[in-house]
Amino acid sequence: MWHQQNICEFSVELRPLQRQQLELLRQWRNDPVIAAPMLQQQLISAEMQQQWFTRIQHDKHQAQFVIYYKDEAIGACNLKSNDGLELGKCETIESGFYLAHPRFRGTLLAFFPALALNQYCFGRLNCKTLLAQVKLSNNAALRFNEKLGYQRQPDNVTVQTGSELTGFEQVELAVFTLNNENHLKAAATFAHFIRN
Amino acid sequence: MTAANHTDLQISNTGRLKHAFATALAIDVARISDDLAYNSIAEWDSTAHMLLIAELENCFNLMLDTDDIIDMSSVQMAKTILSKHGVVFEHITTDHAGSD
Repeated sequence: MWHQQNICEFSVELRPLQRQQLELLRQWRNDPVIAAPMLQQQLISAEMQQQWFTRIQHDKHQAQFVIYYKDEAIGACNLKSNDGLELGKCETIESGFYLAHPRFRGTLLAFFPALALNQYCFGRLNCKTLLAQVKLSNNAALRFNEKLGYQRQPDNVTVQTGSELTGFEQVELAVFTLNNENHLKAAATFAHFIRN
Repeated sequence: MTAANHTDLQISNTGRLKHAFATALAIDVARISDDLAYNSIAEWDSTAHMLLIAELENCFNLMLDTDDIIDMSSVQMAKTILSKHGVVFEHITTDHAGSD
């Protein structure tokens, strides 16, 4: 990726995605459990994955990371500019995140990479607002975002997913926004549990 | 330490564990069994889990590491992890107590 910096915060490390990690990422992403809350459900081929990485690796409107805990890859997360400006210049960033390792899904550790990513956005990229969109059916993610300090916006959005091949589907998403003040409050709540 | 005192200590630790869970999860002690698991009831969510860790650390005067916190996914696992830190739990029956 165009960004080279590792983010080490909250007991985890976010390392910029590299081409040699694409197959691992593809296996995770094609796991039905991980894919379920995603908008795109289609299986990703190795070729599609390579093409995707070639397309985005120099795109400064987004950043892609692999999440490590104790030197083991456990998930992935990303950032995307939401206002057309490059990361570092834009005011609103949308974040995405999943934990692939079954040991950690649904545990307290799930909050740590999200907190690290949010900290990076407000502290280093100087963004003003983080944006997250969550399927209404994904109750765990709705609660997860609230614990991170996100405020749910009054209006949901509806998007169309799928393709001509698989058929189209309308999906309703809850919209959450987070500012630095609420992030810091959430981070303080979790800070007591940052060990090692 | 006498057998009676030893038994009292064991019962006390089980009782303290249950009390810690009941306090952190805000549920009745009667609902706490070994197979009660994280996220299996609405009351044991991530916030309650943090309260639980703080309660257990305070109650047993120890500090858990990140792996302990992640792996504490049930009451039984809590006993296993706390045992690793030197806390003794035993299932005490009338016969067992009597035979001591």
